[in-house]
Amino acid sequence: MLDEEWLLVFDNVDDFRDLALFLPNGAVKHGSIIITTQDSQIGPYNLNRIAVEPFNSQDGSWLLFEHLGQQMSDIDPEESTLAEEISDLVDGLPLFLTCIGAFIRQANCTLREFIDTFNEQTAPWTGRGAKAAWRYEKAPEAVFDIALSKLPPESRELINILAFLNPDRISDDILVSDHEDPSLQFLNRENRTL
Amino acid sequence: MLPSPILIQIVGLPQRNVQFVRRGIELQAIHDFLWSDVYSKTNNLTWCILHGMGGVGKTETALEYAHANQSRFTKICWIRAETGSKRIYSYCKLAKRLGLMAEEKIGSEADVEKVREWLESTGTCTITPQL
Repeated sequence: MLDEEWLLVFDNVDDFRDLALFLPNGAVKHGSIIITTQDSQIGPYNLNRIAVEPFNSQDGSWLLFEHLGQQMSDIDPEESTLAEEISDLVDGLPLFLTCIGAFIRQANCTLREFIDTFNEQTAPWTGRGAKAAWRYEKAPEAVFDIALSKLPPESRELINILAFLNPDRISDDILVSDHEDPSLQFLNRENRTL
Repeated sequence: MLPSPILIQIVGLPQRNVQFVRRGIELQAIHDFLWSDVYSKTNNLTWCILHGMGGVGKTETALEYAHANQSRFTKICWIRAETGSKRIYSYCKLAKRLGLMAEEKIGSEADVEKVREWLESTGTCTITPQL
């Protein structure tokens, strides 16, 4: 017997059967396993489950201020209300609050200005009345639309290309090279402005 | 007191998110599921499933738990589970770190098998977790 205390984290599991090859067999009586998944029903029924819920308005505003590099003690109540409003716009999803924080910093805009821009972007969807339907599907897209709309065309083109490549590691040799295709020539070494 | 020097090995764990906020209840719940007497460490493989919609922070919560509790474990392996090749790659890295790999070549299912055998070979831990 080895005196070991191990922890395995399986991040982003779609199907429990995918883990069959990796899990120690049933006789094992030792170790810790954490699984993250979007599927609340995954695996045998008797495994311990924790539902990770979106942030409430206040927690969402705290995350936003964290990403804006602001101390909670420095924030006036009006700003706080605006931040809570932003959190509600994306249903308290931390991923989007993180993006919004980065965007606001980069664009150097106020929370009010962000809300106005966001509402402009999502206006066509809110007009449909089916609020529940767009909230999850369209609000997140609006976050990215705002961010993408501020990029120069060549940067957007590059993002479109990156979307098809390995999310973890992309060799820059693939991108920066002597392309002959006119649509790729902005990536050529001598033209590289990115 | 540790009986002998234990090599703490951490494989594939992404960097800690310094901007992580809240989630105290969830972190405590993970801890309870993995360590409480009910799911006693002496005689059980303990599990915790974090579920929720995309973007809600499941990964970040698991990551924070792993970082904050590093001292409780001798081995931590973070496995990116979304594709078969990523799962195998994670296990092969672990096999390498455990010294279970015969060759330098990475990415074979035989290494996955070796890691699984290693996991099964570990026993009741007599180390007092360093709190």
